[in-house]
Amino acid sequence: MNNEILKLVDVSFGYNNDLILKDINLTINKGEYVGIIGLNGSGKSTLLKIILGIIKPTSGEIIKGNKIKIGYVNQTTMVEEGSFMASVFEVVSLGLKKKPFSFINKKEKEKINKTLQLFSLSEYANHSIDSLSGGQAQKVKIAKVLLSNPDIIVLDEPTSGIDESSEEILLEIIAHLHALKKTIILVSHNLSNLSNCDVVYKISDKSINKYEKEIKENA
Amino acid sequence: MLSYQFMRFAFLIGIMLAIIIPLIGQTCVLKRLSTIGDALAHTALLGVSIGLIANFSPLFISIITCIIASLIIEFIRKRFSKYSELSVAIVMTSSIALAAIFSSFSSSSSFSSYLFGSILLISKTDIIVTFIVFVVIIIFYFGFYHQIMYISYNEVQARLDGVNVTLINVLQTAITAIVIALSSKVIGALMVSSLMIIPYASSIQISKNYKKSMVLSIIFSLIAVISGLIFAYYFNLQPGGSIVVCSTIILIICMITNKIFKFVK
Repeated sequence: MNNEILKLVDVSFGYNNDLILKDINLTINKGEYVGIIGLNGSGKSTLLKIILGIIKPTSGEIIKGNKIKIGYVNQTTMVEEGSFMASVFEVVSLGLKKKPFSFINKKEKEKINKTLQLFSLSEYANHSIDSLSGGQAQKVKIAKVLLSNPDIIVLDEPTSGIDESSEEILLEIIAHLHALKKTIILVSHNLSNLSNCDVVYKISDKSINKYEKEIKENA
Repeated sequence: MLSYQFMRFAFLIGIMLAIIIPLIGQTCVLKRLSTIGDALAHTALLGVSIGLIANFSPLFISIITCIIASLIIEFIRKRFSKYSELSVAIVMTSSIALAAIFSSFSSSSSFSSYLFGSILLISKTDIIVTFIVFVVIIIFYFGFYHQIMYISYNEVQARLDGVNVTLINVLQTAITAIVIALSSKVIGALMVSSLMIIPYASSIQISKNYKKSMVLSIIFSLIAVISGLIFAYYFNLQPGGSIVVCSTIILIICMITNKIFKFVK
């Protein structure tokens, strides 16, 4: 019981009488690497928004400790962030929790540089974020989230729209985060991206069920 | 030139505005609301026309109308989050319509001085009000530097990381409204928005670093305002137009410099 970090109990969500998710029960344990798979429009992003607290469920309960911090890596959307003009260093620095009237000190600078190093981004520190490839830009986003030291890292289709080799590197990075004892929730429509997960859930017909890889493979 | 009090006032107010307008401009551009200046400037005109009819400080009324308009923009922006520019268009067209109706009841010469700006209109009170606004904005942008940058990057993520996005957005739009209303008098309502955008557009030709582009846009804006006022004085030009033309020349120089650098590399 103590190992649970996040729990969804009978969570439903919909607009008017049209339910998108119905009676979702999901338990995520500390340090677990959870994969969520589903077709486009199946409700994956809605479920993430509920977990993140961006939207409130129509019914049901989300049990999460007050101090549990969730980091979120969204899909590569140039529409949303393509116009943001800043260096890689500056974007990663956003992961620091800063109070008003406080500025990045020497120690924090070192922390940012170490994170950049971890993601092999040091040479791009002064490059503009919009000059990076999709894969590298995604690495910057993950680096920023890691810097904020969250308990749970939620990644929404982090490999969509990037080339195969970058996809492999990203998945390695995510596996590395898992090795650092971070709880990971990775959403993808591609099952091969979820091969490292401890447990995979499938969303279909408004509900969520454990995806039995072995059964599928044998079949 | 500086022996004339109106020129001293113009330089004083111009320098203060040249520092704060690009600060606001940068965040407006990054939030894809680069036309917000235009919308608020037209709302300022609405305030001016009401003020002229009521025979009460046009500046004060335009500040009030701009604040109301900015809050309406923020409200509509939330309703149409994927089409944020829609909010600006709605407020701008409605303001122009109302300003056009009200302006027919006011003196055309006073009204037109707000369209293109007039340094002869600057009073001591304007200097004091601008100075107070200047100090408030510098403190706001300095104190909330990290938070403002985060919101410009991604509002959802900023909110998840505990940034009070709503409060900062509301304060920012109110500040934008006040600055636009103040600037309409000197630079002119029809041209103030260009000073919000052009210096920043010039700066990103040189650097795409958030902090550097902020500093560069202030430097370019200062050069444009000072040289614009000097040209306006010696060649008897409209100060607003002269400032914006100088700003555009800086942009062209930056674009050419950028091309040359890229070619050399």
